[in-house]
Amino acid sequence: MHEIIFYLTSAIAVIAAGAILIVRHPVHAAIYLIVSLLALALLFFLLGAPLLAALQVMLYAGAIMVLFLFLIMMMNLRTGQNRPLSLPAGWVPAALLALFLWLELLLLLTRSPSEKVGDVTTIGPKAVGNALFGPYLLVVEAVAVLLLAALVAVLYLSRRRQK
Amino acid sequence: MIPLNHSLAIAALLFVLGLAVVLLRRELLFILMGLEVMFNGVALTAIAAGQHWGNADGQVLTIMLMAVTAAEIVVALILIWLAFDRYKAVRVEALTRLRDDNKEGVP
Repeated sequence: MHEIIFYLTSAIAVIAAGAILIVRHPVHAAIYLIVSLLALALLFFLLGAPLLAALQVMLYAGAIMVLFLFLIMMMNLRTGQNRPLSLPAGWVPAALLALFLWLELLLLLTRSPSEKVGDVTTIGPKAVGNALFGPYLLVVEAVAVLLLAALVAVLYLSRRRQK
Repeated sequence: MIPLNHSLAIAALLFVLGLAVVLLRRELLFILMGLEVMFNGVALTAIAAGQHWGNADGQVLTIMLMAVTAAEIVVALILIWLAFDRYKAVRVEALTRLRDDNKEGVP
């Protein structure tokens, strides 16, 4: 039961990510991306990371995709402006090589001996918080500086142009 | 319990699909969405490995990845908006201002 849901959800995530490659309108691509992100949140939950599943829904599918949709709305694109996927000439050999490489990787992963398969070990928010604010406190500080830098950059770039 | 191999294969597939979107689509917004898909493949790798070895480091890495992605996305989106606002560029072919043989001169 657990495995069936996992593989079904991963199929949804992969198909939705592949649909981004072929749709025409940016809003449709954004919707497919949201579906893929939500499926990935379910995958995180099934793997035993409930905190990250919640953060995935809140941060990615909530905040970041709202930014995307807001920008698409502001740009007000018509479908005439985005032509459908026009593949450059000679893409078939490169795609075949990439597919071959992925199949090779798949073969390598299935041939290697799989270790013991036990139950799902859930790592709850408490353990994550202990790790985050214990040995990785420096990372939190670095992220704080990075977010401040991004804020300054966005304010600088979005200032009104001087005529 | 799902073996680590299967999670890694799915993550690799997501990463390759995102890379294909980045390489094949020509719209700036689609390239950014492809980057998102690639980031998510990496996040799935980190979480699956962290769960496999039973410690929280993978989740810490993914939280950091989310913060970095948020910072990256706001700067990239405002650059896309500026490209649209000043050059009316939706696709990457329109952004050729750094070329040598620019007929319009210095912008």
